[in-house]
Parts: sequence; structure tokens; C-alpha cells
Amino acid sequence: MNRKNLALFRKTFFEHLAPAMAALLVCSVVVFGSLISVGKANASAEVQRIISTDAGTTEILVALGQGESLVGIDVTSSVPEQFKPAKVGYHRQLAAEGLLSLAPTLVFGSEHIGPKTTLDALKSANTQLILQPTATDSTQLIENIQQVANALNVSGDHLVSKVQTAQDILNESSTNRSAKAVFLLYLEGRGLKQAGLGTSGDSLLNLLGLQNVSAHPNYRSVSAEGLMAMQPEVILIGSQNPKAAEALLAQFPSLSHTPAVKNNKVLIVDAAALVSGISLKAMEEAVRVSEAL
Amino acid sequence: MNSRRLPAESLTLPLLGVLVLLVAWSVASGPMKLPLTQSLISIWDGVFGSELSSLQQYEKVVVWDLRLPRTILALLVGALLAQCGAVMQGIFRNPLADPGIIGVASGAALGAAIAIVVLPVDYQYLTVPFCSFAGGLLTTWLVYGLAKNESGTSVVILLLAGVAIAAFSAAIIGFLSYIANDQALRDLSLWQMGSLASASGFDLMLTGAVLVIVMVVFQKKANALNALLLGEAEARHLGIEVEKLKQQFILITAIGVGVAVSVSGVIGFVGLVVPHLVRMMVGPDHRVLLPLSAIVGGGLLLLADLGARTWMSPAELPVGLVTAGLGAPFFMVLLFQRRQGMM
Amino acid sequence: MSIVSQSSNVGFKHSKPALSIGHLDVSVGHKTLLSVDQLAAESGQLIALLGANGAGKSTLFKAITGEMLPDDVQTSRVALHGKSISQWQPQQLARHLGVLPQASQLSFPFTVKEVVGLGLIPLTASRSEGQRLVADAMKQTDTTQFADRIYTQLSGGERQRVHLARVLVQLSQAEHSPVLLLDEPTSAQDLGQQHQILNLAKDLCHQKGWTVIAILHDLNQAMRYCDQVWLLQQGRVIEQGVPNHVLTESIIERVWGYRPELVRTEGGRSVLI
Repeated sequence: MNRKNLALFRKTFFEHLAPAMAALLVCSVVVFGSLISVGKANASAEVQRIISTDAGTTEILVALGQGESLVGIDVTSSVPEQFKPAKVGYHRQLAAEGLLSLAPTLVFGSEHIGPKTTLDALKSANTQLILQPTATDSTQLIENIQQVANALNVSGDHLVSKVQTAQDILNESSTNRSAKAVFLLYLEGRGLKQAGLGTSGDSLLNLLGLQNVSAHPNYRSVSAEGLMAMQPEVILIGSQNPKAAEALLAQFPSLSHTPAVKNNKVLIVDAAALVSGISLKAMEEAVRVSEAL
Repeated sequence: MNSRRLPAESLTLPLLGVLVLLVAWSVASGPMKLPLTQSLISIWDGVFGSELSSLQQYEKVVVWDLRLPRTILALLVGALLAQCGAVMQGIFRNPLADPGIIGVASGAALGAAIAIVVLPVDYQYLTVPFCSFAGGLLTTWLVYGLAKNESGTSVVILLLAGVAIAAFSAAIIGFLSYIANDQALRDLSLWQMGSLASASGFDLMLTGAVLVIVMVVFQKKANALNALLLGEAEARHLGIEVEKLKQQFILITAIGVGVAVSVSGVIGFVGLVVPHLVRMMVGPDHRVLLPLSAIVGGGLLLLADLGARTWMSPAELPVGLVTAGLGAPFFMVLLFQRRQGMM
Repeated sequence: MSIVSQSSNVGFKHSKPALSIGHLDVSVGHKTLLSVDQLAAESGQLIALLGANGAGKSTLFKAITGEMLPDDVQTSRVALHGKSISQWQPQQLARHLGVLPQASQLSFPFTVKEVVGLGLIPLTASRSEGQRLVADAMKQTDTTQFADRIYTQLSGGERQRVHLARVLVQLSQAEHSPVLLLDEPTSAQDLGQQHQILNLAKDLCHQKGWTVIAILHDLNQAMRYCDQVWLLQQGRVIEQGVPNHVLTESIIERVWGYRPELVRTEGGRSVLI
């Protein structure tokens, strides 16, 4: 470095770089200092720290009275207001360190849990992981309830019998057998989506003994005309708006020519209950719908 | 009036020093509170097979399997994107070019979209990187083929072809989004926001190898790239084989960016902003611009990732959102300054 | 651009001319841009390339450097020191054929020293020797005071001189006498600078044996400095020779459409009014 460069260097070093580096060093010291204190949460043997990454499992946990033990839930799960678990993100893209930082004793998830590296990290850290398949009918729901109950050493019998009762009611109402039905997600202003095979809307229809007229898998956009062509005898609308049926007819008046509308068999279902397959709430909704039909 | 430049040699060591500090900070930070010295010791353990650290098993997992790979990947990807950005700005003789301009980013996104929506979900961790890399290379090849004629490759046509291919691939991605089920849709949109989380050992080695190749090739041709800024005719008069040079640069950039995108999704603004920053500090000579861009790019991406995984703890932001959120305003400031400079 | 080229044979094996051009034909559609036959430039000559706008002057330069014609046409067309352009190795060619463009696309904030330093690319020189060549070239073009300034902050004329310095560096290691093509080197310069550049060109030719072809618009300058004039009209060389013979009243009237008054100086040259 010749003299001129040296002078320039000194000038810029003292005017720009040194203050920046000093600031960075100070920040680092502060951060390191705060990190040096060991702050891991110690879980005692009896107190569970549960993370649930599946909405259905979360619901079961709350119903079993384990809400207090929930330290983390994914974005699809919801809990009553008095519980405040941390939000760990979307269940298919979980942050491994985030999960581990909550020092969980038990992690629940569905078959969708991911990504793979997070699962590997959980396994390497010897965290107990219980994966439950998404329930598409009451049998699986009962199995899930029992699995959760067993894992936590509590009794799930009251829940199981509730589900069983609901299922029995549904079995008895045979009047709805083979009626052609559709399950719609009505997004006001953005159109209609019809639940195809394999969706949770489809599972609900099966539960009610109705025949889903759609032949395709997944949710698909459908037009009023397409709906009319299917001539459904029952229309279930998944929505949070109790006036959704009126809004639907207002937007698509041609639907009044379907048997469902003519026979007044258009019913609202709480869509949140179906986020993760057939949940406890979904069973209640099914019973309610069945009685209304 | 003298230039307000910093001499590059005196900048390198301080920057590297800052980088080392950032690495230590990154390894020590995260939703879990771990002591710094023990974390560093456990890295030593991991490398040398010793058992000196007092961390528990699951804490070691966090440091060695989670934070360290991420840190390394951030450095590698940041360096790759920054270097390729600098080179693309040279080829197009335009400081507003970014590495995706030759179509590689839109092709990679298309490949990933196909893998996510159409191919089986269970193998996503294999199919997505492979398809996005292949997609990136294929679209670059297409763009380059469109732009090439007997007298060479006009950068203007190259730019327009890149835009056209990007629009086309966006249309196909749109269609795929339409037929996708909800999960695939969510996966796709998250992938497009970028993430350094899922880095396997193989990913790291591959990215590292590609970075080394990219840096070596680019550095050798750095002065030729300087000459290219004079204009292609003048560069040819200086004895540079311009067509061959462009071909090489485009190919190497496609590979570099293709690999970066396939391991980490789309991370924007690094390739655009970092060369700018460095050029403001040390000038446009590529012989110093390129290596310093690699260092600054790695450091900045590391910082961004640090923010991404600590701000919404215990959840994580996709790192592409952080780079966009910081990069876009910074870019606007740059544009404003440029406008001022022109007045 | 479609190039119609006719086959002409012969490689010019004449070793004397620095630059020799065989039959060149460049046209776009029906319009002939350039149609040239047997032009030769000797070493040590400063040649003025004159003509009205659109006469084909820049086209000729492009044809010489090979930007206009595909390689196979070049083969027997343009020869530098007896070897056709396409047979020269690129770096060696760069050391012997330099072009000062009319305007430069460079828009990045290099320092002037860095821009001139780009001329070192085809050379093999140690760092210190390179610095010396750069310093010399900048002295010759009167740009030394700009050495550390940013190129983009200079005026058009200053930038042109910077590029001239760069090209001088580029040609400073030529084994045979180099050929320098200047595309309107005086257009952006003030009067004093114009004469400095032309004097420099003249010295390079007469004292170092270079061959310089300059596109000029000022006929008096051509008269004063140049050994030869090539006069183009509509792509064809209609006259070539010493300035006095080429720049006569009738020829000037024919090409530029006005009849000048020629005044003879004591030195035997003419001045146009």
C-alpha cells in the first residue's frame, strides 16, 4: 500500500469502518452475554409439554382437558382463549429449532407433518413423536382419541362415547341414504369451490350417508351452471356466515332450480370443523345437519 | 476531485473478520437459548469426534444439525447469488440486472412447481431440488437459444427473451396452482419465498463445490468482464472472444443460480443489491468486486436468515421475505441516489 | 443485415502495405453500403478518410475489423501485414489493430487510470511496466491530470482522449507497425485539443512508422496533417491520393455540393475557404 492509499485507508477506517465494527462488537457482546445464561426450561416428570401440529389432535387434547399442557400449536389449530400456546408455524414447514426450543415432551402431528429435516432433527433429539392419520370417519377419530388418551395416561372414554353416540344417531337416520349432495365452500365474492373425493367435505357427506356427486379429487372451482347440471338434492355450505345460504342464492339465483333449493335442503356447516378431517366438532355438526334434513 | 473509494486490500480482512463474528453469532442464536462457548465447543466435538462439550444431546443436535448447516448454506448461497449477480450486471452492462434475468429463476420455479403439484408428495425432498435445477438450466438454454443468431447474442434480445420466458413460465405455474390441492399450493408458495432450513450434507457439499468452481472461473475472466463493459465491439478489439465469454458466463451463472435455487428456493435481491453495495465501496473493477461480493453476499444472507429465524420465534419467516423486505427499500434508495447523481 | 459478397480470389501477398483491402461489398437489400476494390495503406502514413455523411466511412472501419462480414468472407478481403485478418490470433491482432470508436458505451464508474489500464489486456507486461505504459499513454493524450477521476464524470472530449490513451496502450507492444483507426477523433474536442490529437497521430506515423486512418470532417485538417486521402461517396472510393490532388474545387463540389475557394500557402498546401 502506498502512502496515498494508506492515508485514504486511515481516513475511511476511522470515519466509517471503525464505528461500524465497534457497534457490531458491542451488539455481539450484549447478545452473547445474554445467551451465556443457561435458559433451558426444565420439564418435570409429571408436567407434560405438548406441541400439537394437527388441528384435529389439538381439539382432542383440549377436549381431554390437556389445554394447559399445550406449549405450541400450528397455524391450523385453534384453542379457547384462556390457553396461550406459542405458534410454531405451518405444519408442513415446521422449524426444528423452534419446536425444540419449547422443550416438548411430546409432539403430535398428522401424516402431513414436515419437512423431513425437521422430523429427523426431532428424532435425533429423542423427542417423543406421535403421528395420527387424519380422520375421515368416526372409527379413525375414535382411534385417534384413544391414542392421545393413552399417551397422556388419561381416560378418553367420555369422548369416545360421545362420538359413538353421534355415529349411532347418524346410522339410524337412513332417510338420507343415497341422496345426491354437494359440499361447497362459499368464498363470498370469489366463487364456489366444490369438495371432491378425498376431501374433508367429502368425508362429511359420507358420514351423513349422502352421495357426493363430484367425481374429481380435491376442491375444484364450480360454476352455477355446473352445479345446476348436477341437480343436487342436498347442498351443504361450509362457511362461518350464518346467512351464507341467502348470499349464495342472491349471487346465483339460477340455483333455485335445483332440487336442494326447492326442497329447502340447503344447510350451513361450520367450515372450521373440517380443517383437519372429521373432528369432534364435525361430528356434532353432522348430527345437527342430519336432524335438519 | 478524487474517487471516494475504499482500497480493496484493506477491506478484505475486516470483512472476513466480521464474517467470522457473524458465523459465531449465527451458531449461538436461535429460539433455544444455548451458551455460546459450549456451542462452539460442540462444533469442535462434531468435527474432531471429541466429547468436550457439556451440552445435552438434543442441544448438540440443534447446534450441529440445525444451526451449523444453515449458517454454512447461507454463506454459500449468498456468495453464489452475489457473484452471479455481479457477472450478470457486467454482461448486460446494467447495474440493475439480477442473476435471474436469463430465465434461470423462473425456470427453476417452474420445475419446482411441477415437482410439488404433479409428482408424489413423499419424495418431494428429492424431486423438488432436481426438477428446479433442471428447469433452471432448460429455460436458460431456451432463452439463450432464442437470443442467438449468426452474428452473436444480442444482450437486448437476451433480456427480452428472459422476460418472455418468465411470463410463459408464470402462466404455467399459475395453471399448476389452479389444479393443485391446498397443501401443494401452500408448499409451492412457501418454496417461492425461499428457505435455508432443509440443508442436507449433500446439498452443502454440492453447493460448496459449485461455489468454488464459479468463483475460480469468474475470477480468471474478471478483467475480460471489465473490458466487456466498454461495449462488445471494443472488447473484441481488445482481443477478447466475446461470444465465447458470454456463453461461458451464462452457462456458469445458470448452474450457480440453478443450484442455489434448488437448495433454498427463490431468494431475491441478494444478487441485485450486494454487487451494488460493493461497487459503491470499491468501484466496478471485477477483480475486486467479485471476491468482495462473495464475502458480503454470504454475510448479508446470514444476517437475513438470522432475522428470519428469530423474529417470529418459534416459527420461522421464509428468508426470501426478509431479503425482499430489506432489499426493496434499499434498492429504492439506490435508485433515488442514482437519479440525484444524474441531475 | 444481409451481406452480399462476391467471391474474389487472391490473398494479397504484398508484404509492404500495412493494411490492404481486397474486394469488399457490403449491402443491405438493394442499397450498397460499401463497395471497395484494392485499397492499400502503407506504414508511416496518416490517411484521412473523407466523405459526406452516410458515404460508408464507419462501414469501412467495421469491415476492416471484421464486425460486418462473416469470417469466410474476410479471408481474402482484408490483410494486415500480408496476413488476412481472420488468420490473426485474437490477442496478436489486438496488439496491431486498434480502433478509437466515435462514442463509448461505458457507463460504470471506473477511474480513468482503470479505463486506460484496460488497454493492457492483450499485452504481456509486468505490473510496473504496465503502469509505465499507462502513464506514457496518458501523457501523450494530455489526460494525466484525470488519472484518479471517475470516467463518467468527464466531458465527452475528455472521455474520447481517455479512450485514445487506452488504444495507445493496446498498441504499444506491436511487433510490426500497428494500424490505428480513428473514428472522428476530433468531433468532441476543442480546437486546441483537435490539433494536439492530429499532431500526435502524425508523430506516431512519421516517427514510429504507424499507419493511422482517421475519419475527419475538417478538410483543412486533412490537408495540413495527412499524407493520403481516401474519398468515399455512396460506398465507393471515388478518389485516393495526396490531399492536394484529391481535394480540388471540382471534386469537393461534386461530393459536398459547394464550391470552395482554394488558397495556396507558402508551404505549397491549400487552404479552403
